[in-house]
Amino acid sequence: MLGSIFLNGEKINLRTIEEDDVEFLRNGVNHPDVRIYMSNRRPQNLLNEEKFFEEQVCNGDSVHLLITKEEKRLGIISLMPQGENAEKLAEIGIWIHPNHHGYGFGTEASQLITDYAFNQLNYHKVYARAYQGNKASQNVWEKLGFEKEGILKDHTFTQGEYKNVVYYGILEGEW
Amino acid sequence: MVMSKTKNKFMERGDIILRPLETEDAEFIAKTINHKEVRDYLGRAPKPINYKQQEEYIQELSEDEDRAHFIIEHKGVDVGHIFVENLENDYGRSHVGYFVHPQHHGKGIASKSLKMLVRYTFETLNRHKIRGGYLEGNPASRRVMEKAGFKEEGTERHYKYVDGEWKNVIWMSILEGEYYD
Repeated sequence: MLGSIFLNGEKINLRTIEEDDVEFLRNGVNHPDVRIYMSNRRPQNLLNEEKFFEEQVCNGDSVHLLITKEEKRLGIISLMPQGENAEKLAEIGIWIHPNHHGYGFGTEASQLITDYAFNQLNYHKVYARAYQGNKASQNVWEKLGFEKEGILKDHTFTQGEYKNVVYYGILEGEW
Repeated sequence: MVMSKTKNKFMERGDIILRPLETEDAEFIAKTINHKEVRDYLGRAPKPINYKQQEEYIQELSEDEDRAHFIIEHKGVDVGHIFVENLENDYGRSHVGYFVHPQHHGKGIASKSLKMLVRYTFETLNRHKIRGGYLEGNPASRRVMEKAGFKEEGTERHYKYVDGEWKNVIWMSILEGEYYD
């Protein structure tokens, strides 16, 4: 069963994540086209994903939402508070299952959660990281008006080489 | 007359029944409080809540003697939630909260339910005072409390952040003496 709709978009909705979504999440994070842009290098089985559901989705301070179009699961987006509360700072993380790449679903999901971060949760700053070379991800943040704040050199290792990590940020007054 | 299918009704008035909140109600409650028109006006922070979290919360509530939680049924359909808490504190000051799913707004369901809960709180639980609050911009909730005999008590400033603005909460209350008048 799909969770309840939490944020309404035009093409997509963001829903609460439920136990029934665990299998879809496992299939997504293991997919080579998703995994190479993320920090998880090890295979994630159902037990690992159950643990993520229990510990991160049902507990913890982060907001995790399932990206859906009608009844179809597309991906996940997360808003994760960083540092101290005083900083009112959060990081966005997102992946879309490769079957659904190229339709702008990631951009709309990111727009919905950024708006929620500023207008409902009163954050001061939201940022995202993209591996250099992940054009699709970089395009999302640039389209939404996030500023490229800096590049951390050789900050990760993926697909046989060190890669730069690009930080994109936006402040509450700029949104 | 249509007989209600509700097996465990606790209070009844016209076409409204208040019955104990059960863990099976988690899905309905979660769907309703995740709804933007409801979550914007609740006291809690507007974070998503899934079925599992809601179920665990209902289990906690069930063991808490300080609270009484009810599902509101209208003509046999689950339409909302209403509760009274602070039942164990000194001085007999209690607190109410309620919501009705937006699909069922405008039928007077919350007003009838609150009147039933007020009656229960004074006549069965013998409390001295009941307090409730509404967020500015939600006059419908104020009317619900006014119809049940509540009077304005005061404003608590910047209670919740909604759509880019801080909103005040206006507290209302009814005293035992006013109820029996």
